Amino acid sequence: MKTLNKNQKGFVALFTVLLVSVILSMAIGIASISLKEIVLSSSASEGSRAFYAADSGIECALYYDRVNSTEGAFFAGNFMCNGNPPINPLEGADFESPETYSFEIPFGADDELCASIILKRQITGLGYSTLIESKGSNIPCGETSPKKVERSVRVTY
Amino acid sequence: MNIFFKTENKGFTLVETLVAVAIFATSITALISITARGINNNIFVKNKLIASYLSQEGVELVRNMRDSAVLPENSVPWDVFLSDTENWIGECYSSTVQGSNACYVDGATSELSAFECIDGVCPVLGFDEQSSTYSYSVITDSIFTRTITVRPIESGNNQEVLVDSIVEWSQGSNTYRVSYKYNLFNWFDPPPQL
Repeated sequence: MKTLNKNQKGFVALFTVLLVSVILSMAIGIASISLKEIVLSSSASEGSRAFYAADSGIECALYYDRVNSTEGAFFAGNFMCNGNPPINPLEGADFESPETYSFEIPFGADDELCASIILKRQITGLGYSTLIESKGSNIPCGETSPKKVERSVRVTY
Repeated sequence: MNIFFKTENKGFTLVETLVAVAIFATSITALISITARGINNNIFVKNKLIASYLSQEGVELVRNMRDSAVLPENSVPWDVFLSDTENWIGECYSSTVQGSNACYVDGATSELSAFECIDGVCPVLGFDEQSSTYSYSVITDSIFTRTITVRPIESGNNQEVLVDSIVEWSQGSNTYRVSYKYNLFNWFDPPPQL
């Protein structure tokens, strides 16, 4: 009787600790699921912002190639997209064949997005072949962040 | 002797039980509050995804109108496209960067046209349960409001506009918004001489 009573002393506490650990693991499970949901939905919407920045960059490059390029060369004159001149042109860009040019343009109402654009053009048997690649990101140009999301659009013609 | 031990043990078990109940109650409270917040987050995430698709639709509707206007059978000049309030996006377009014109476009109609949001207040989107579509012709209101603005880009030679599609909704006492921005250029023939 004495030993049995002694053994029973810690039973309620032990049982509670067991139950509490089960309940807490359920709670942590629910919390981690809802946290993941928020991260996923944010990455989806940030991805779309980045995509529209990339698409704006493509529109910009195509537009100025259409109105402002002379035969075989990109952008004969100065140009601006979203009210910004191109920044961070690639050092030592190769203007020989294939002609390559790269730059970044801030997009969005407060320049909170960025499109980094690469243009390539080379002479082929049929004339010129052009490749434009625009990488849009959801953070301003020249900044780095773990929340950065990039979407890319490529056009060839 | 036996009775003495039993009473002592009983007392211990009571205190122990009180402590156990306290711990248990705390953990249950934690579980309930986390579950409640989880459900709230769930609803928020669902609404945010719907809002982000609706906002994307807003951008695509304006782009669709620009592209239709460029087509040879329409070939509407750029300035007419921006200022025509009857057929094109005149209701959305402010001629200055600070302008406050806003519009709404119904994506469920075959002929797209933009309507004015009076004083910048756009109507609430309706939701049709049967077809699971959002439009303005449905009587049942959803919680989403979509506002589309089109503004010129400063120093853009009037050849470039910034389309902003904002979807707002409220959950509890908070108002949330999703906004996508897209730059559209003058693609009309002939190309402008810069």
